[in-house]
Amino acid sequence: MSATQSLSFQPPRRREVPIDVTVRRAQHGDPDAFARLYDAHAPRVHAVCLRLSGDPAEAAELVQDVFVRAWERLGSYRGEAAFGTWLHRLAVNVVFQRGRAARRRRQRVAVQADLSHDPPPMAAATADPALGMDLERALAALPELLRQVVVLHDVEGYQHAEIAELIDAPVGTCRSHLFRARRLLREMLS
Amino acid sequence: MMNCDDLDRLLADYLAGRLDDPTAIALEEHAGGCAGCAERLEASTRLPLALPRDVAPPAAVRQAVLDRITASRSPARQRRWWVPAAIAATLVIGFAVTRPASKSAMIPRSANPAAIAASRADGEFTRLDAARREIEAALRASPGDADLEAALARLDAQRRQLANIVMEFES
Ligand SMILES: [Zn+2]
Repeated sequence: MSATQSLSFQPPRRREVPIDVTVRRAQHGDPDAFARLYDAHAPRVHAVCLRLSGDPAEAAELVQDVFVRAWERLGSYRGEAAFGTWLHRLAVNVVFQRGRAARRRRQRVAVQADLSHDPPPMAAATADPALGMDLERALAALPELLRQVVVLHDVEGYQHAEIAELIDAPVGTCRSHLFRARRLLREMLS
Repeated sequence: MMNCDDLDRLLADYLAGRLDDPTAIALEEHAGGCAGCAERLEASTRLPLALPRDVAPPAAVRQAVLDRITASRSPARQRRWWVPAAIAATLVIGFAVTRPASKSAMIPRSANPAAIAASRADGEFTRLDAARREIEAALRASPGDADLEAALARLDAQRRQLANIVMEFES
């Protein structure tokens, strides 16, 4: 109710999406409103985290990080895009920032055998590509970088230029990763 | 190095999965850097990736999130004088050195202080996330350890301070 009151004091601002009352309440510190946002958006955020990480335990941690970060960053949401879109971008950024931090830690800790070529700890997918689960399993079985590129491009609809920035590689590399990922998926699913 | 003619010649075998791995990779690398071939490959290798939009997370995640956010006050409600001067100073000094010296210099969009603050803060948040997880793991090994719990509380306090700083730059 106090959130409704504060709505009338917002400075006039050009925006494409009106900020939903629940988002507005959460921005003013209402945890119940934030819980409603969690309920509405967590399954979408989780799906993205799961596909990008290929690991259920890591995905659960990532969802937690994304929503805590969202709470901390709610003030920066000004309705430039739908709230779900803002959250989706935030989720992708959290996944990649965490990946970069983890890589730096690994580099510091030890020069180990090149981990990127290890087979992932997931059974190779089999059978019917029409079944979502097999596709999920095949995605999870891809090397991390290839999985991230194909998920962002083919599932989440990102452009190569955006992906290239996230994975910190040239656009050409990004494209060849996509082709390679698709080829490995075709092999796993056939 | 493969060229467009090679790709043309090998494409049918590539699509049928008949190329060995090094040849397939060479073909993919050529296509990656060649707009025309990329377009051909892009269209001919598209997969029907129909996946559910939503996948419910484990129920425990919800409570974990709510515990963490209600342990803190809302960043939006906190006031600027809560921000410790030392941390604020670190960020402000950072801006001073990264901004162009001359006002007439072209200031790229990325030099916007709010954007710099946000991107630095994101790096900080990521480090705090990782540290939090290490402390949580240690706490699982020795539940109730007062030092670890104090460390967790300090860490969360640091997060809130950082969140406040970001709020200030963004508002
Ligand atoms: Zn070519």
